[in-house]
Amino acid sequence: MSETAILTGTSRTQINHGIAQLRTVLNRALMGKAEVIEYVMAGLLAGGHILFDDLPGLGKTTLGKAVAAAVGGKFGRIQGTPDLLPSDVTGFNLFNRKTQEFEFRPGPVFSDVLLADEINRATPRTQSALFEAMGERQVSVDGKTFPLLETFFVIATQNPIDHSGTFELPEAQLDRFAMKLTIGYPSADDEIALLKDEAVRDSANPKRPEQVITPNELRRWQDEVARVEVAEKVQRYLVAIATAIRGHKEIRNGLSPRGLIMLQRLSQAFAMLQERDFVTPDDIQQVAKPVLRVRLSGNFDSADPIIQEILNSVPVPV
Amino acid sequence: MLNKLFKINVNGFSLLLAVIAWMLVFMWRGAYQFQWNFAVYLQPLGSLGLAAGLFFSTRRITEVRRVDFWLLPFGLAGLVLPFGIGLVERNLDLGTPWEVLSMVVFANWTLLLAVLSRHERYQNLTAIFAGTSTFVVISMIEGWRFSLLGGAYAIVLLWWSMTRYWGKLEQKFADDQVSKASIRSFVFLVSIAGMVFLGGLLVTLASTGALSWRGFSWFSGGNVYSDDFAQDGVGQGDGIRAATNNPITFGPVDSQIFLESKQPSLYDITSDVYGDPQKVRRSTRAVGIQAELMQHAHERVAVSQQASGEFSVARKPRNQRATTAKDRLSLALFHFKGQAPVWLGMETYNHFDDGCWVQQDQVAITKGNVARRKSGGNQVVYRNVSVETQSGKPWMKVRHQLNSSFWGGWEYAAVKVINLQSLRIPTPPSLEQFHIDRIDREDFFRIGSDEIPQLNHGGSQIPADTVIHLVSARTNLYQALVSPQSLREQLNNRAFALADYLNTDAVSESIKSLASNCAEGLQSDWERVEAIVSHLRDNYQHDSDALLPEGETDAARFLVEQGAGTDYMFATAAALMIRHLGIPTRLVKGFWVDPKNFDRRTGHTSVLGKNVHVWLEVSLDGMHWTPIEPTPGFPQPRYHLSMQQRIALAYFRTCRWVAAHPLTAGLLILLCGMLTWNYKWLLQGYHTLMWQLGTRFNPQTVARQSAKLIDRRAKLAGFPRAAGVSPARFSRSLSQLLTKDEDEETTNCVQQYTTALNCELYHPRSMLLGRAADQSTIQACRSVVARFGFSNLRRLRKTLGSINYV
Repeated sequence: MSETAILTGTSRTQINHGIAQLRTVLNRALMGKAEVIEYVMAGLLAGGHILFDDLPGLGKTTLGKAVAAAVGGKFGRIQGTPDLLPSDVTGFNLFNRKTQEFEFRPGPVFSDVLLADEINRATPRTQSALFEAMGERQVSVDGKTFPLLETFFVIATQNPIDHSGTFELPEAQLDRFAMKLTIGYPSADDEIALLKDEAVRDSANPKRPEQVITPNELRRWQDEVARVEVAEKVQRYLVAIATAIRGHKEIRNGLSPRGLIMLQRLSQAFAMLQERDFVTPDDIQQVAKPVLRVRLSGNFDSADPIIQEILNSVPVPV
Repeated sequence: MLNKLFKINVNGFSLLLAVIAWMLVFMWRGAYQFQWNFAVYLQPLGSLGLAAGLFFSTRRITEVRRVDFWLLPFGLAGLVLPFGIGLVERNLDLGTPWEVLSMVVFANWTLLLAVLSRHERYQNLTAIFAGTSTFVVISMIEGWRFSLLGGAYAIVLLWWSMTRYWGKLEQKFADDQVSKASIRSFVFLVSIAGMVFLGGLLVTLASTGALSWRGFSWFSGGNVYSDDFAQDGVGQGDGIRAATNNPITFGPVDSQIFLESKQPSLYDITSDVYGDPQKVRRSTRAVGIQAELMQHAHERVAVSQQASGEFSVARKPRNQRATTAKDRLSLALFHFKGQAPVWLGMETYNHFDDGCWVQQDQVAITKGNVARRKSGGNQVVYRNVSVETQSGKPWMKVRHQLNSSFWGGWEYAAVKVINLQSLRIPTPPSLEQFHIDRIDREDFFRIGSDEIPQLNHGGSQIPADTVIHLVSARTNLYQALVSPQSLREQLNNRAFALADYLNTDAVSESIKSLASNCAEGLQSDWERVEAIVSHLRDNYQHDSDALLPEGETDAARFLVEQGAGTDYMFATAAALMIRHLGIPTRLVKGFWVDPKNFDRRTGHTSVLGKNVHVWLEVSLDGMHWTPIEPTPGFPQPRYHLSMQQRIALAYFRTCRWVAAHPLTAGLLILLCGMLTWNYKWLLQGYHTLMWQLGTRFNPQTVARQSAKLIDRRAKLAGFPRAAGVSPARFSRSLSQLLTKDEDEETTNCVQQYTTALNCELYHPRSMLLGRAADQSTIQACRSVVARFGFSNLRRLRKTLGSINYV
């Protein structure tokens, strides 16, 4: 456990060390998916919620649990079903017989990391309650407002194939999520390694996710992300991308300024993951697809080719 | 306070500047007004009226765009009105020079802009317009104090506009990390450099006289265009208006002033400069020769007395007496207004014999035509000029424009006679017509076969202060250079009339052989002439004190043997040598207009007694005489060629050269072909060289420069970096493609290079951090550049076709 000692300290080298540890831990939890893990970490550092959109059994939940464990703090979980009520998410008032008063029982959203599984199986009412909590970082129950924890971070998953009995997430609210990620099947080598690993699992080889940092530490990291610098010409590049998106004929809803701000913040987080204290156009290109995926809509199945086309056409500042 | 008082809302500073400029322009204009009547006030009244009109039309408008809309018609009126009034004035004989009118337009615009100066965008414009017109007017006024004042004014204005502009610049650069001090000093240095350049240009133009003979602007009138009211340039403007009120009459001739005067005559000047001729007593020298030849000698003495005179190449040493015009303020014989240098002929001679040049019109006397000559009487045939009135001016046509292949456009010039005492008019080469005020009587002038116009009154001279306007044809040598054969045919057809100009009796054998040697192998007549002239100019010295020894008459041989001689020796030698090759020549005595004597104050070039000069003219087609300068130390005359002709000539010369040197040409073409084939290699070599230099002198940006070099190489190799791919990613992709196997060193180098590159390109304070300067980064960049060599990239291009970016 020595290498997973909980880290403190805010100097850049210490943060870089912490990030490296977090990366190791998450990669151990989900093998062969370094790229996805980078995105998840970027989302974590930027304070942006993540939506996983993939087939079952690929490790969405595993990864979510690993993140929750690594960050430590309180872990909450919702399993999306049609009979899930908003109060199951936010919490509810309970009449205390002894005190003769209503007492608030906080729901799973009052946690540092919330794993919302199969979110598209919940009813729109419930979804909407969750979205409100994600957007406002507070919950209103019976006219009372309760603030959520500062590090509140949602990892939601949805299953694209099983459409019967699901409620598709409304486009307008999708941009509560910072990114939409897919995991995909592991490569053959990784799968063999995975099988070998699983075959010998026993108590001697506990594959329990380890805690790396505390929620307070994470908050300090997030402050540090805001200090990553963005040169004016890089910001011009961001605006050029936004303009290109808005001018594209196949895109119905362009990129909002809020979306652009989120793109910049995630680029900053990504730059920090590369141990850099300034943003390069490469960072922006790296995070552009998952960030823009949740924000663009139009007559297409997948926004990825269009995003790629736009990234290819907008000249990188030199 | 002013604004409140008059309830106007105009920027005071702009208005002040505009009013100063406006008043200066109109004061300047007043200086060119010779009569004062009501029409003179039309111009300023119109200008003020326009300004008032604009003010009242836009008084209540606050929106700048609508003000712009109003400015257009008023600005147009400010342009049209002065020229309209100017045309009216011209018809009233009140003419204002065009350049003054253009400044009036400028002043109008300045005033109009000042009226609108409540809007900030017009304030700068007003200042610039006002400053420009003030500067121009001040610089046009004579005197160094005014020039200094103008310069100071311009600098203050420049400073002011720069300080106004800095505000914007600093805002613009506020986010960038370039220090503001460097912007300031950069702007300041650029402005100063621009000022110095412009000033230098102005001084150079003014001192060479180019401004003077071309005029202040293209519509001023100049040596290619003539305008009655031109203030500057050659034209016929007031700049050279005769000082006497009425130079029409030639009265002074009768009033005995000039007859009694001790002013030097042309003859005196020649003796002053060259010394008196050795008095060769031809009659006594001819005693021992045959009767017929003696008679010939006698006759020639008579002829030369009747004709324009003679010029002896055998002269006595100069005496030191200075006879040149002590009692006159000006030492100048006459002033020349026009493009210098120019050669103004006073006398021409076609026959050289016994050390003496004379003009005679008949073929050299031989046994057969002595009788004819006797009965011929006068040896120089004179004719009158013809008068032709052009735009109210009586022009004396010296000859009608020949259908000459040598014609290269007109050249306008003017001569103002001061101390010159001569009945002959200083004549530029190929004089076409001339004009002296209102003299319109064709019997006033006559022209001999020497083609120099002179007064028809025996013994009278051109009075002082007479202005003579001259129009001559420029010489165009295109035909001579391109089709010498046709010229030679024309010349041969006219051989009889030109035989006088081909006489070679006095040429010694050594000179003949020298001429043949010089011209050996040359095809065209012009090339031969050039060869002889350059031989003389290159191999012998000009010595104005050289004298022929007593009894010696062969000036050409003397020059060749002594290696130095006077200008008339050079001219004689050149004339005789060229004659030996069958090309007609004649000797010209006159004045060389030295551009060094240009007087900036008056805008003309003074011609002094010491400018007496002897040169020669050749005729390649038998009609046109081309001036030639064989004496070293004097410039060669300019020959006019149009741009098309220059191009055609270059083509002809290239063709001829290729035909003459087929082997060299073939090799050159081969070399060019190879260079074209491999231009990419050369280009990338050049880029690499520039990179070497750049990284040596500016290692701070080594990664950025390397990225640029790699970009250029990739572009030349055929796969340019896509617009959407950052240079760092491009380099990583290339590195992966080039080193298939895991090569740790390369990976490390590329890693270090891309880190430095990203920092240089995208770090907001990269310039201040100076991170990229350390030695290992430079090493990494160099190694990356070496690994991404051009040949490697090309090989990659051949095997790959396109790149998959990592």
